[in-house]
Amino acid sequence: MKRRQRGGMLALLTAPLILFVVILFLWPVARFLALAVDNSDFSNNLPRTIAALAGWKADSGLPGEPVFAALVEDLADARRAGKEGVLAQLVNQRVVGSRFLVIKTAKDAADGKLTMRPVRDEVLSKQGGWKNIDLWQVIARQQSARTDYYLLASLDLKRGADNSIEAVSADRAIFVDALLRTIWISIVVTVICAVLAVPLAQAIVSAPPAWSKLMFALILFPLWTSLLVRTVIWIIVLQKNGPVNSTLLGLGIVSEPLDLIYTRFSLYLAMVQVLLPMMVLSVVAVMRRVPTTYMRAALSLGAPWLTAWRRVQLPLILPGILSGGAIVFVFALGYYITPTLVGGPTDQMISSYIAFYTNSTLNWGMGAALSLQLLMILVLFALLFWTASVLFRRKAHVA
Amino acid sequence: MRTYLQAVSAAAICLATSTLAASAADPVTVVGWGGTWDKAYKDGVWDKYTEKTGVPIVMEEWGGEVAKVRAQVQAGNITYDVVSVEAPAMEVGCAEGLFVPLTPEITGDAANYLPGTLHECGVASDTWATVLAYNTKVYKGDAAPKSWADFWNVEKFPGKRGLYQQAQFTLENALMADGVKREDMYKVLATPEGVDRAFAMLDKIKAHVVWWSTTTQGIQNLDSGEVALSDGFNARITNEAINEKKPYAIAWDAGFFYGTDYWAVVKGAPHQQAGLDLLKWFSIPENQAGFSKLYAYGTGRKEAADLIPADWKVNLPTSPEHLQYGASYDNDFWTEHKEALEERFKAWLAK
Amino acid sequence: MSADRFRKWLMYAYAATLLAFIILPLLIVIPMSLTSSNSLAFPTPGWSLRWYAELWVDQRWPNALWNSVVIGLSTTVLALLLGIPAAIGLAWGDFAGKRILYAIIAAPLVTPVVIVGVAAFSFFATLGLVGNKLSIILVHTAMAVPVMLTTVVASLSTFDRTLVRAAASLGAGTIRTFFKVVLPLIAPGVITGAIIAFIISFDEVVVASFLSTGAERTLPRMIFSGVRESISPAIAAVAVMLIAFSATLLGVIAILQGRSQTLRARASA
Repeated sequence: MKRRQRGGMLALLTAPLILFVVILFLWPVARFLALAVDNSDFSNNLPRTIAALAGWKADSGLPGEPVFAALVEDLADARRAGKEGVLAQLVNQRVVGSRFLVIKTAKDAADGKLTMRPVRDEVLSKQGGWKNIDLWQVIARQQSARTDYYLLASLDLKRGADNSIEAVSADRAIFVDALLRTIWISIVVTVICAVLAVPLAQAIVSAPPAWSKLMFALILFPLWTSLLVRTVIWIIVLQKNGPVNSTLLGLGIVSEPLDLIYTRFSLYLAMVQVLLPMMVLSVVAVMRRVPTTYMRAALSLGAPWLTAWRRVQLPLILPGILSGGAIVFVFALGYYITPTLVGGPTDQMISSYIAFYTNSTLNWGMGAALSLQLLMILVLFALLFWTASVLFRRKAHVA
Repeated sequence: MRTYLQAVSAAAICLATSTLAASAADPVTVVGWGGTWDKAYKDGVWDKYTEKTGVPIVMEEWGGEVAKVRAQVQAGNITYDVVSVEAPAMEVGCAEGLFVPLTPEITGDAANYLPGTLHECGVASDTWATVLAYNTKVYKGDAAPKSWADFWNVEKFPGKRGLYQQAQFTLENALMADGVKREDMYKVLATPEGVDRAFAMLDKIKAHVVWWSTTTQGIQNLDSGEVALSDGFNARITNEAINEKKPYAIAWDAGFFYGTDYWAVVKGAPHQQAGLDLLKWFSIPENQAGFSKLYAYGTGRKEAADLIPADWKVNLPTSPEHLQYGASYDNDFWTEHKEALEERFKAWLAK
Repeated sequence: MSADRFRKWLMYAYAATLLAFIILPLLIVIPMSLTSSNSLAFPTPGWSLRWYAELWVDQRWPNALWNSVVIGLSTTVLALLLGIPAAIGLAWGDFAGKRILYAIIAAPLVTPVVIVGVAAFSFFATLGLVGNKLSIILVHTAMAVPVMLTTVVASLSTFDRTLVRAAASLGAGTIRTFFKVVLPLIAPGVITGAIIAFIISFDEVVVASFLSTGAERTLPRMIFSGVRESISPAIAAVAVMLIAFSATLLGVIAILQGRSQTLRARASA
């Protein structure tokens, strides 16, 4: 009883931190991700118009007077609330070329310049853009405060004229490619790290203690330097008149400087250098627990070294490779700084697009939808790695 | 007792003047385009203002995103006082009421301004042009590129060329290379076929392009020999060529488009009045000329142009000998189509 | 046996090459930053310290350094205030749902940093705290605590808890016991954790670039926008100083770990 009480007391000690993380981290992230389906800037700013459009069909032509009257009222209100700019941007995203139409109509409406009856004729004569049926079709569809527009867009899909889901035209498709590219780059980086790390870990484990310590410190050191600095250094090293190119030129290996930076090659190089230490640490941790007697036994039974290593050592260190792989892969998926700085235009990963949409146009919906996509991929692959390691451990147990 | 009173009043005066000085020293936050542009404004304009009035100016840089101003206004947390915005953003921001409308009392008589340099909510901070520039060591005399068609001609002008990594400017350049006249540009670009045509032109040289996304990058590519010809903002090319003795030249007659940025005061800014005072001072021709003398961009007041030495004035895009080859960017077009075209450009670039 | 030796040498040669690949780029910028020329080139055309001097002339760099230090130290203090009690609870407590708590605390570490930055930007914008150091400190703390926690929890779980009971039986209160008995013994772990928290904040660039404006710009944020503008030798000079700084802190930690081993040995003896 006493023990449980103490447990409760001790649990309470974690409360400030948990509250802190929930309020200042989980809540903001959840709130942001919810913007992926948020349509309130649309539905809240045109409530009367949307209601008046209920039952309206595109083939029946332009909507009638009540809809236009509602539109004028809604836009006047939006203007007074300072919301017409956001609204204009949203409409323009769906029907390109209607930004000023919305802003100017809202200004006129708020200034009391649209008072004739029927107001429909006055609006159409002053702002002819409202004759566009597409515009009304888009507005009629915004009844809900939720939308799948951004989620669909993040998969290069959209709602067609009949509200069915269809692919966007090929010259606008961008996100599926970016997603596949992000996954592919992360896989390549993870595999390269794994292949490079295992022999290095073996060297660290089997070296004499002093050397082993030194190697370990050298591996740890980059983890202490900022990611930004390590990325910047690659730009300096790989640029046209940087050390690599001048060495190659000086040795006569190439006759003119190579394009090393702002390529997929430089991106892989920088990412592997940054992430390799994590893989090495993870493999070394497991390798140190493997008794050397197993290998020696296999060798004494006459197995060639490589066969012995592959059959005996590798299965034993595989959990380390898997957990290291999970760490490297998950970090790689979310990379932003490195692709932005050392990659070219064809090497940008999802994170760059998230930053682009929130930075340049404040298109929160798009940024949130892409973030959601990235998080889901991350969770999916984390589960995959986890299942693999569980299965593998079970198998090792049976054997 | 008398000495006591004296001491108290002296202290009071000290206190009063010091608080006065403190309120006078409240800085105005001015947001510009960064780099050498900011430096020219600082050296040529703002430092003089601070010297004269004691009002310090804090400079910030941004990418001209009007959405950021809107977000600040909506959150009631405005950190910018005066911003330089491109014309399309000016149209949107002014229509939305994000910027303070300027009275003639601040700007002076509208008749004294060059066309397009005075806006309901702003005075021109600079008129810039995107031009074809090349390395005169690589292309000497008659061998120099003379048109955007030459720029696109990879047989006659082999090697990499630099282009700005965005749709605006680049699409216009592509269509000029395809023979579209400047006066027809936006008729063509407003149609889906016209946009396709521009991207088809870009397809032709995609493999030969080194993209730049900051002015300095563009210059560095020219500098390192990575490219021998590039598009670019005219002032930066001129400043490098003249001040740094770099072998760059501008092919003005290849045709160019120009645009104007404006200074605007954010409505509800913490130092809105100080911002307006600043613009009033800036509207005096000598003060505007302070920028153009250092940076080869035009400003608004006609008289300002007369204050610039003739041998420097020929470098401005607004000088008559160049203006005949130029046309203005269509602000309305880019306001409506920027988001969609930049997205398509991004998609095209990533393929 | 000679095949065995050959394999060994091959392995060490490989290790040396790979370590060179990891370390060499960090070293090669040192001579490059000492250039006298206007642009970065290799081999260095002439030697000078002018770019280091330049950093102190241009007010923005010292200002950014100051911002980074203030934010880093505040983050460290806040992370310790929240982290040490939580570490005690997690290391010594025996209660249900511990794994969930760990998952919540680790969330800021595994979430892609762009999402953290954008979400924080949207959140603090509505509170009017963008461009304020406080917002950066709060987010950095959430990012630093999970890493700091691991070192503190590690030193607490090797801690001999009979010492606490002994102190209590001698009449020391909880607070007194903590400061007089627990803290001195876990100090190496706490200091290591504090240094890690500081470094995480000091190096962080993405959140800082979403949340800092103008005068509040941090050092990494300055480097980030500087790099996009141009790669000048000044950037190389900053990079070298940051590397030297990290090396120093790593040395401090190495010494601390050595001491904690002797301390622990002494405590258990």
